[in-house]
Amino acid sequence: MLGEEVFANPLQPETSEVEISLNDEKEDVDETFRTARTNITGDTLQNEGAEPPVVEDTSSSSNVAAEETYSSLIENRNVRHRTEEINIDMDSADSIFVDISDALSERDKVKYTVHTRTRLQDMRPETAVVREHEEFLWLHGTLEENEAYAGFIIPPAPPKPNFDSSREKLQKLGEGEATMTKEEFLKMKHDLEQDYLAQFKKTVAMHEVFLQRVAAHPVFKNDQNFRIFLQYENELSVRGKNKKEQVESFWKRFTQSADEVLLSGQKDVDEFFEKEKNYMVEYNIHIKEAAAKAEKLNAARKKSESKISDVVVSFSKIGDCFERIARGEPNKQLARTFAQGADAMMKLKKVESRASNDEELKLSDTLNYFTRDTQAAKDLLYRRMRCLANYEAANKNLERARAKNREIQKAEAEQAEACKKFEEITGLAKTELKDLKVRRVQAFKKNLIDLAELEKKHTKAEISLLEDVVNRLKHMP
Amino acid sequence: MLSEEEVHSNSYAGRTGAVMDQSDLFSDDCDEINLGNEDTPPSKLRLHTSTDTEHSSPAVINSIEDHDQYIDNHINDHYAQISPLPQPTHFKVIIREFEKRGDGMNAYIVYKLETEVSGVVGYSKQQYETWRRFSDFLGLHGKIVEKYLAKGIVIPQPPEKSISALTKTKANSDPAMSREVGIQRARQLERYISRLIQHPRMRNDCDVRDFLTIESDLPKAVQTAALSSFGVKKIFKNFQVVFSKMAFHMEEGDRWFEQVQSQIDELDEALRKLYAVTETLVASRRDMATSGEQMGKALSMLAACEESTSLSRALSALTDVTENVSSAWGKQAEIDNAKFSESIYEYIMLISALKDVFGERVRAWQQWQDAQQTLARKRDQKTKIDLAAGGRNEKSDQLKAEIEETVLKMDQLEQHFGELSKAIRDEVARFDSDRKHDMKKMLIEYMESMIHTHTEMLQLWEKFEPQAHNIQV
Repeated sequence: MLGEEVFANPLQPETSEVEISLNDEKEDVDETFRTARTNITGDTLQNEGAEPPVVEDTSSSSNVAAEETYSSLIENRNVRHRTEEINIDMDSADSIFVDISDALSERDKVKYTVHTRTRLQDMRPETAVVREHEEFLWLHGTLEENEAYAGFIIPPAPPKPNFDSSREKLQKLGEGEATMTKEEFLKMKHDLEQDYLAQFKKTVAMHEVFLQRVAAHPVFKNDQNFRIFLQYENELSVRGKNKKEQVESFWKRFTQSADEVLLSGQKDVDEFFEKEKNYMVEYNIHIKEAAAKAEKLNAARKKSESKISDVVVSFSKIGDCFERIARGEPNKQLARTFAQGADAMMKLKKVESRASNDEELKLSDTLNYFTRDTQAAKDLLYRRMRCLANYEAANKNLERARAKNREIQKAEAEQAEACKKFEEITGLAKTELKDLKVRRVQAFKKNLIDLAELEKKHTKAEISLLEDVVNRLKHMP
Repeated sequence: MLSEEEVHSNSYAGRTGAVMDQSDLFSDDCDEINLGNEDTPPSKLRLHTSTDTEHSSPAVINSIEDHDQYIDNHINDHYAQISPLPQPTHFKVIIREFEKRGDGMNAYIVYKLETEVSGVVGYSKQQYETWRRFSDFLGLHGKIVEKYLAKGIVIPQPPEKSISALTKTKANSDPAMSREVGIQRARQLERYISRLIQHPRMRNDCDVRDFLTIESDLPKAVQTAALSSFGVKKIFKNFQVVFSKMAFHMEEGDRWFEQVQSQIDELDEALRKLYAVTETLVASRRDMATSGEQMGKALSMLAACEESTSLSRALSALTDVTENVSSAWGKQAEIDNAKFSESIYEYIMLISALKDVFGERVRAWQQWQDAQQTLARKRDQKTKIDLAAGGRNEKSDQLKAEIEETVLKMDQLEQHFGELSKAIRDEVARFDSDRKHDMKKMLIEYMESMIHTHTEMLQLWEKFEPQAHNIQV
């Protein structure tokens, strides 16, 4: 079957000749999956929040437009959703505004258009450059490695865009095509495209938040590499890590954790940090666990990657079955009953899927976000401990030098240097950690309020749609 | 809930709907409460318990009941709307309780059948109570099949005797396991027996009456052991049927039958598919419940660890919500199973019963055709002999007698076939009208159960919302 070929490997360029009649369908898929585009015009920019974000979606725009107000409301909220609000003061002369104005999904990567506006003298007032995920990682890497920033919590790098599940599902859809009807097939395809788009918007949002955090930071925003990232027109020609570098970074992680173990014996002079360190370790474990479980829950409800089915998919399949029975039913009344059932199931599927999306966005994502942030804080604490250890080693060296009466001056200088560094990092880290706590509480508050509101809204929607159907069923002859 | 199945209108008997009246139902509930309080030994496992009185019984059972209770109330309204004129005929069987008797390999479960009846011939009392074990049901089924299958009556299928259920009852000493089997089977048996008494002919059958009214134990049914020779024979018989279908193609002279059979086949396929999907729905819901529970645990750890007191409080409130929501999902999963998935399965079984009846018709037709062929052969023989002998002789006379006999037999068979076809037409009409009613009822009940679950969840989230607002930054 030609249709199967189209879906057997949807993200590969076609090699076989395809009939003209099928070309339409093929292009349809390619449009969405190869070049899904979001045009997220944030209201903080051009039009000061007057206009709702424009969502460009080549294949499903008509459907989006047809959706009831309830859904479009939700969709819009989600486009604007950020786990953490980053406020940048528009009026101050030295601020940088960054947003991702456009993104283009290609076969194996996503290209983000990073749009920057500033009044800073040493920067061009308005620029737009195209960046890939690897370049974001590079920026994060340079910030992390810069010793001058050792005292800061480095904004965690955005997670790698992951569309594998969508692709896999599409492939499964292709395999199952022979067993379903045309309508079922199209419906499932549409659902997958919706999922893909939601995923896509999310990854764009996460990359944007990272840049905005850097831009809002008083020190990082002046970082040379950041400037380069924002304004250098051409590709940065950072490549992904090669094998050797991968081994190196793995080794680095390994030595760090080994060092952490060694340092755990280190007595901390500062009670605040002693407490904070234990706290961060514990917190990180728990939040990671919670995030993992939240994702598992989501999988059972909406997007299972490992399993064949989940609640949302089941609803839609039940709807299909009802429809099929309704079609084959000679008794008109019974056919109508089944049609009602099918209708209800389809609506249920929509609501459940939205509820699940929102739960993911508001709860799992928040948990994940702070999992990464606490990891960054843990790294910061590690760097401070390292400094402390160095400082104590320098002290010992100085004593030894004094005892031997040799090279005292050099040792003194070293000791003074280490002391200064340690004190610096301690001071900075303290404010950063306190700041993290405030940010965390703020973000949790915002997201939990949203979560409660959305859950209420979805549950109400579900109840009213069910009541509607029950009423109609009861009043049928 | 088939226990509440009222005796429903059917075209077969040409009667209009007979519906129990509401006050009756409520008084049942009252009876049940008294029973539950006074004389239920703790060893008894209760399926249907009243919410107010039985909170001490195990949680699983209660959870089933909560929803039953809820749905019961709604159903009453529903029927009140549909048929405002209650008829005196009232017949229903409920299985509320079951007990495990015996130990080890001799262990078995007995189910308590509570029958309420009025206006049905042969039942003198209003209420009966009997204890029956699963093999008794199978024995009854055997008798019914023997009597009625040949008459073209669609006989509901009892739940299958499964080996896993057997081992769970016998070998396993864990009461929770055998309870699980018991609950599910009690539900299935209730469906079976309700379906049986719904039929105007089987309702008045003496075996059914004995089954429902004689309080002592029935003679133990042979042929029902899970791995008995009967089972093997049954498989062999099924094989024979399939074989004869393949070898012997019946030319359908009746357009109506042709159409109905293809419809039934289509429906069967669609329902089987639907059943598979509902099972995945149940599985995913259960999955949701367990992962939700785990998330609740993880969140409670996080809440305990959180520094900010107000956030910690909000998180533990969220933990509560998550746990309650998960348990609501779990309950819903059970309802998905009991109300939706099992009803669909019942219909699949009914359709296979319907197909059995169709098979019976084909067999009747075959016999008739055979008789016709024999007749033709004999007539042939007679003409040959007559021609050869050129006049009357002994052989010819004998053949003539045989021919007359065969003609008689053929007429009988033809009549049987005609009657069977007519009976099947009636049965199909009955099946269709039942189906219309049952499916609608099932959908309404199912949706109402979901409304209930979601209302519960809405309340939980509403309670949580102020906690989120209370977080101090």
